[in-house]
Amino acid sequence: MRITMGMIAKQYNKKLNKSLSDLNYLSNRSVSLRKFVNASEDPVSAVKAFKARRELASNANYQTNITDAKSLMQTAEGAMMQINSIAQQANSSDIIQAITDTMSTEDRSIVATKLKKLQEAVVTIMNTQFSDKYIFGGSSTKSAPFSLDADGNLLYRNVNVSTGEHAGFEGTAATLNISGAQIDFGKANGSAFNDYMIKVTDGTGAYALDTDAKTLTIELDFATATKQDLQDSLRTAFTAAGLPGTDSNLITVQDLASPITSIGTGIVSGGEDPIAAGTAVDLNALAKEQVFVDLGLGLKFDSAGKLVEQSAFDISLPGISFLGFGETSDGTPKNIHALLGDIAKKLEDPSYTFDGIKADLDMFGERYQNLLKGITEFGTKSNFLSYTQTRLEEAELNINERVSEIEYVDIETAIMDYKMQQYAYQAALKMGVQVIQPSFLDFMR
Amino acid sequence: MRPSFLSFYTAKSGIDAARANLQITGQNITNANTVGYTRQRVDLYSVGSGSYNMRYAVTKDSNSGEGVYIGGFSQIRNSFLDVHFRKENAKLGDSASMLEALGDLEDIFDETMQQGLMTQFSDVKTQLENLAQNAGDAVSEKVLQTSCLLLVKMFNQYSDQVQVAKERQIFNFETGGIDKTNALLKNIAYLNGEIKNASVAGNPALELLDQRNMLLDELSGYMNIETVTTMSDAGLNTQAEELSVNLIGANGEKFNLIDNDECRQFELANDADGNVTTPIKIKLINANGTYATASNSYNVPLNGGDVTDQFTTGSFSGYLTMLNSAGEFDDPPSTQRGIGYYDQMLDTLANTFAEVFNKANSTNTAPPYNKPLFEASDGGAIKAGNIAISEKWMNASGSYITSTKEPPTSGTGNAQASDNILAMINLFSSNMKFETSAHVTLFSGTLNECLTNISGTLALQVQSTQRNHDTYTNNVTGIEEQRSSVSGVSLDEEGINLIMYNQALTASSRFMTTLDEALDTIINRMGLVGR
Repeated sequence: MRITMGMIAKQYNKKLNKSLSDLNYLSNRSVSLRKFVNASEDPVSAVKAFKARRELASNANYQTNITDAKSLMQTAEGAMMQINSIAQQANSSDIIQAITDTMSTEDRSIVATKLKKLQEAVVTIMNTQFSDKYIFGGSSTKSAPFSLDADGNLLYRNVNVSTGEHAGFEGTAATLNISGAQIDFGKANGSAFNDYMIKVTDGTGAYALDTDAKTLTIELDFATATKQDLQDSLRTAFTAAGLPGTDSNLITVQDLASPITSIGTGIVSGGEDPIAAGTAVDLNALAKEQVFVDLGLGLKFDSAGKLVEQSAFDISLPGISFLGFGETSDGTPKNIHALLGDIAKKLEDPSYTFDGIKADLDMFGERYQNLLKGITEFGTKSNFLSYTQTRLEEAELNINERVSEIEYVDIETAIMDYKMQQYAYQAALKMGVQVIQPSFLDFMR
Repeated sequence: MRPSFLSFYTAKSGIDAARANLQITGQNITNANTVGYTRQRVDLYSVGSGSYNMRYAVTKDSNSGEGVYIGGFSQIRNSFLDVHFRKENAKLGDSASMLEALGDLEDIFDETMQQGLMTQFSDVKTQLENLAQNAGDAVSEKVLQTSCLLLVKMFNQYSDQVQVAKERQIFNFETGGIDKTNALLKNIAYLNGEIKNASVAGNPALELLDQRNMLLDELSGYMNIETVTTMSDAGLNTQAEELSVNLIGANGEKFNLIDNDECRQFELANDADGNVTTPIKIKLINANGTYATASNSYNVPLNGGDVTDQFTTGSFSGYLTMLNSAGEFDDPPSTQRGIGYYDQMLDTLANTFAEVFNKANSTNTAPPYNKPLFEASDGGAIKAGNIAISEKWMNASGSYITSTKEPPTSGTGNAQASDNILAMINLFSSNMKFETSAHVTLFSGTLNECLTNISGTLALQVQSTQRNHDTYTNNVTGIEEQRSSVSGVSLDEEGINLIMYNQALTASSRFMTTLDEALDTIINRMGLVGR
């Protein structure tokens, strides 16, 4: 093949450039220690790297959840130990042990007073809060779960812990404040209008209601409209909607004579349904309420869309499952607080007999044992959390190792490669001078 | 008897030829580094005795040759290599223009070194995990809303950037593609005219030929061309070469681009508002301004001059693929994935994401959902460019996230039960089907996996296009070397030629002086006796 000087020069130039560009790449690599800078350099590794990063983020989430759950558990454990010590006190020689056949009226009165004092302490402890949550509230932790009704009976979330009857609730009216108008949707209507988005715009007095999307747009002529018009429109619209169990005429707007001149948008909220006093509530269900958190146990939902319980961690502690609830067929309460109260009442009764109080004392002994059982079971949960936390920490180390394997190159390799390339480049430079040789013309006379 | 002065003509022709050779050698040496220069040589023919069959012919002892004749100058070039080079160059142009667009897309989607959508998805999940422990808490919900707001803004941003990339490609296509090609076509046509004129006048115009070849090489990078030379009648019983350039279409049909000194032009089709159409269309315009109507050899009709589908290789094909093809989203699905594919994949992801979360948060099971989290800001279908936090969520004053779908134990309230929030967290790991509006399956997997899939597909496409590009570059360089080997100037060779031709000149000159001396005796020294 015929060779010209131009060809040689071009080829050398190209190869030298490639060598220099490789040198540049390797020098960058030994600084950043990354195996690839663009996904296109190694697509398979890039996809693996993205997945590993996601796992790392999830792992961090689980660890945060566990830390929070552990703190919650510790506070709860503390409270439970306090209840236990109260029960211990009650069971001591000068209170329950002191109840005999032959007590005098004054003795009985003293014991009853001590029992009542212990009762108060129980309520205070069971309303313990942790980080703005009432820890013994089950799945409703925004307000104190335990309270007393007018007769001194213990109520758990407004339900009598012994009889299971609801103390009654008037309901809360849903409210909305838009375009300067205060709208009250009526206590009796409860939560029926919650989540409706209501818009007030300038127009000719029609309304558009969508019960599926829960939106209502009302047009009022801002030149002449007053809050009376708004009230009328609302009542007409919701009457036409025909939501079951609602009375639209309970919808009221404040200050009916004043005008409406601005557009407004808002979501109706805050409505709670009223509950009749004496409604029967399933105490068993209340005691078994669960609040789940995701600890990386493989969150799964079954085909019906319900959470598979083993795949998440339950952090709820309904107070009545610990204190006991309900009553036996002969009217002996199973709840410790109610028991103490019942014993005190029977002691103060002039017609006191030891036989009458015996069932209560036996039940107290049984419930006192159960307290300890409850605390032990609780300890198992705490252990599980500690074990899971250790596992997660190990998993974090493993994922980090994987990330470093996929994305990073070790410094020895990077520097060796760079040095080799540097050597090759310098060798090429030296050779180049000899390749671009003098030609025949230099030797002609 | 031999003619006295005949040999002088032989000597003269020898000197002439040697001079011509030296001149050409000088031309080659001075142009050794000129780009596109093909080495030239003199065509020499030995002259035979010419008048043997005429009335007053010379006798047979005078039938010797009469010197050397300079036939003309020609260049040493292998036209097969030119054809080969142009074919490979077209492929190179194709992969180069695709890499340009893909590089822009990579800057948007590649999260190896930057924090993008994937990171934001993880953040939304983190906030949901936090909310599960604090269900019903307005502050935690606000934090979640802020995270979702960042997510939708990121979707909007991605969509905008893809649009910008597309517009940049259209601009590059117009200026670096169409305008450049039109200028090339005009230049080549002009050169054709000049070369033909020169050749009719007897001038081989080798330098103009080199120029034209360079322009043809450049043109070949844009589309699949072929050159056809025909001999045409130039009057006075002479023939001259004419060159025409054809575009080879998708099925081998030929569309004439240059016919000797007339050329056609390309333009991008515009719609009524003066904007470029979607999809991009290219039209071929005749020299007189009308649209080309059919291919030349197969009579394939063109609708209004539309040649968009006729580009199979070259930069034009690369640009058109990236701008017009959308892979599975086309109807019927095409094998090429351009900017449109990635744009619509992003839209599909945004749409699916919004749908499943809206459904999860709402208490009714069919659209319109009564507690949506996301909606389209312009009222149409939800896409990456218009996804936004829903008006309802923005205006909610209390708790808006549905934390549980279990009814409370009659009337006791269960606002802190969190099973629905966990269901929402689970959405990030549940398998979903992502499909086009024509129900072509794009991907089955989780939301995060779909996002990774977009990045992964792009990375693979870039990698394979880059590899093709490297291969084609090597091929083109190899052919270029072969061309150089044939047509390049070798200074060694020219140096030897200098010596050789110089010697020939000296020899012919010496021959001339020998003749001169020989005649000198007859002319100057005969008939001096008796003066």
